[in-house]
Amino acid sequence: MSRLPEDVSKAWDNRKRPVVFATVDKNGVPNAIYATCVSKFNEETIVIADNYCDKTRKNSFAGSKGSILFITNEDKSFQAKGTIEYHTEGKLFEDMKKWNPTKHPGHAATALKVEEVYSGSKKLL
Amino acid sequence: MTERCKMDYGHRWCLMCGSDNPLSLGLTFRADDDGVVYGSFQSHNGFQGYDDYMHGGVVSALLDSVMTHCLFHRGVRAVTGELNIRFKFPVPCTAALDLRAWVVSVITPVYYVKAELLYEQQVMARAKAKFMKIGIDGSST
Repeated sequence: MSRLPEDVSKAWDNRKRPVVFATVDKNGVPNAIYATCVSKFNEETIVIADNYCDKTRKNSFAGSKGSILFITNEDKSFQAKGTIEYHTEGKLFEDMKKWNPTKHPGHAATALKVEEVYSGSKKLL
Repeated sequence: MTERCKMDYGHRWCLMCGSDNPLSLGLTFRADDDGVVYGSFQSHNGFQGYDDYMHGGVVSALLDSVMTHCLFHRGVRAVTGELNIRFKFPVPCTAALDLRAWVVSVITPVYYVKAELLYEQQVMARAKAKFMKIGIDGSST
């Protein structure tokens, strides 16, 4: 299981909001969203709350891989890529319910399992 | 929304829901906005196991069918890989039954789904299953 490099993990904690979360449909058509309700579950997993997702949800069900792009307060950008999981029960879902604002529905926890990490074009993982 | 089996899913001749199979039970399903899929079934004496009670295999098939359609609703064509059923109470063989299913997790190509079979709003049997996504030709993806 791949883990976020330590400096990237620290950068995540120092990121500007929102982040960009991208998926792709079965025909290769990309879909990118701004995501504000996100959290690092552990060094291997970043969770995006499914509050009002439509295409992102469909793409997750279809087996899309995903990408999260974020930028730090010092304007250094990072991108994590990996497989996507979708959970409506279990520990990832329960954790999401703790930090997702109660004004949002929190239908599910969409989890990016980190496989690759970049800073600009430089591959870090 | 009521969703009849769609030809795209290759279920026209399904024993449970197939529109072209004269022996089909003719199950139809509908989904709510959260993706929970619902169905109903009027049983009869022909589905008995022990006297007056529905055969457990029929209960299993009903639960499997509603879970399969729960994935159809999500645009996923998949086959059952593992099916675990908790038979809580015997089901009267002439009962009007309700079914519901929902997706618990997706770790493609595996889909984790749960379902319940209800009689007069009481859960009579619960199922949890793993489904494996397949391609149009039936191959794993």
